Amino acid sequence: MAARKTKKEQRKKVTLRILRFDASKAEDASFEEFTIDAPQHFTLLDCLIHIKERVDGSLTFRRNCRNAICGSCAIRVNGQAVLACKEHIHDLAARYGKNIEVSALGNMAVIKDLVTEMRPFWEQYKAVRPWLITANHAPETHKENRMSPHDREKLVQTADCIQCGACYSDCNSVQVEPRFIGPAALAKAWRFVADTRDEGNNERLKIYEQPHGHWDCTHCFYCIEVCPMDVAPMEQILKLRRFAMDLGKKSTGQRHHDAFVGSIRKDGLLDELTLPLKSHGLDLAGQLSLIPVGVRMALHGKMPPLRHPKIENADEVRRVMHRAQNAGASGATSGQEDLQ
Amino acid sequence: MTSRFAFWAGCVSKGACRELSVSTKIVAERLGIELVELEANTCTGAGVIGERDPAAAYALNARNLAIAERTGLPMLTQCSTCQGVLSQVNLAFKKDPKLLERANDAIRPEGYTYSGGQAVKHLLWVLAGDIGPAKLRKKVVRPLTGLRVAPFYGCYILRPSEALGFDDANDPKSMETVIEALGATPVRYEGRTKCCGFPISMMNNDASLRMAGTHLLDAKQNGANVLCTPCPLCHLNLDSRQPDVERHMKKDIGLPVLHLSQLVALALGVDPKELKLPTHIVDTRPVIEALR
Repeated sequence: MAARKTKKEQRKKVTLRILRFDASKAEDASFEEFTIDAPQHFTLLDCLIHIKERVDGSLTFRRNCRNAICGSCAIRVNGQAVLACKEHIHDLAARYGKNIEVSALGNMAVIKDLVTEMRPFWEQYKAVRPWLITANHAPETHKENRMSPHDREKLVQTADCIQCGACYSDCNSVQVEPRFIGPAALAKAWRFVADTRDEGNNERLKIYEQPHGHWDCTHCFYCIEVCPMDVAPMEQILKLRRFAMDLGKKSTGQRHHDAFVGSIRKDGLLDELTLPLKSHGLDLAGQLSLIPVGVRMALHGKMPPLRHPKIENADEVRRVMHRAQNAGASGATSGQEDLQ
Repeated sequence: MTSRFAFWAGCVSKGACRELSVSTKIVAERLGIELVELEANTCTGAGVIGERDPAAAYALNARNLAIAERTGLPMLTQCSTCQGVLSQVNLAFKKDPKLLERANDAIRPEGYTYSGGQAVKHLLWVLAGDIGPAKLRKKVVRPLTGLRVAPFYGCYILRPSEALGFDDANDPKSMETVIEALGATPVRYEGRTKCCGFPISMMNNDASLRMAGTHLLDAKQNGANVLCTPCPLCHLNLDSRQPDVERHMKKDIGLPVLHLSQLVALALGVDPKELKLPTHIVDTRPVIEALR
């Protein structure tokens, strides 16, 4: 029998600059370089395992399934969170060049090398009550809680979360506001709000609407960009926002949104002068906080015009918005449509 | 390269950042770009309308893009946020034609239909891509040596990368390319791709100020003597609120912030007096001094 010719696998020399650190020692973090002649099939995780098994057994990192399902191996490459088992090293080299910086996830204390203290992540997760709240634990009919495929479809995207922490790591709000519940927890919150079996919305909303709930999300898209499972946490946060606003929950954020939409409906352009005033409403502290920047801007000629300009055909804009807002099935608002 | 663009100035540059449109128009003229101003366009919603009411945001922007389409020209923006919203809308329509159909249902009675194919480019992309650094360098009359410029991209011109796609969202280079072509030194710092904090200035003011402060100080610590941004909303939080940021962070910053087109204008030899620099809150005179 003729010997089977196997195609030789392409290899590439890649240098990983890994940030080493040990919290139990009094030394600063420092970079250490490891050069690997990586075959094409190697993921970043394969490289780390190779280093640990053959070069430096002290390199410390979390990993388990190697298959993008357990969520253990999230780390940062050039400052951006990725799932190590999902990144092919040749693709990373093509994107960033042969020198790749590897470090632990952000927004969490580093215990050792690439392992972080994930307790704050889990505390925030628990805070949104990520379990089914229902009195109906033993349904009479069919002996199970029925859900239509259509209703199940609403949960699919957010249910894909593997709790890897990538979104939390790179969240720009968590970076400056560690009390923010965070994108993973809020995405999971939506998973239950949208669940037709769940009866806990009043209880949930009390949590999400409080300070450092969903209104702390700064809409920066980092979580959408880094999520390895396409959960798009920010999209789920926005669904939560619409849900809360449609229920009539009052807040500065809600007033801000309604004032913005109202301004465009009226004039087609944003009335920058009245927007901050309408957003703060009766919040005196909020109104007072506008005075220094308002005075400063006025003195520099940056005050928006007192007589707010309209675009030509502002009526047309009103009609377009009215049509769009009422086109949903049976006149539902966009927020209500998220649940239909 | 296309030298005619349908131009959408954006709401903020008609109001709190009027100086931006001034420099963009001067730069366009000097570079031989004709701007056909779109008078009937509305605010893109800045992502806020899209949050509250996606259907309304799609319809409004389908109308905006249909109006631009009528000119037969690609659209030029000078605001990262306008760029981001319009790019996201175009992508959403491409991924789900039903969304485009529904938006067209809302605008058709007014005589508009949007095909889904309108090109939208930010001035930054035109400078770094269409014109390119070599041609830009040739136009420089006053090389910006002496300026160590920290680029502040802003969220909407980078993410989500699927919608924007000009720069690598994690390691963008377009601002650095332009800064170098203008003769200045780009400063590398972590905050260059991060959020300025403007969107939560009402909802969590302290966090908003800390975001701006963290990135301003980061830029300064890495040697910047000026910050430059392609987004007037970022400009508002980084410049107009810089004194509030300093008070909250309990640190002096004093880092002047220029709009991208102001930086380009200076390099093209424009008299600083034409650029309405005194409207800036943080004194820009050190920037002009550094150029002497």
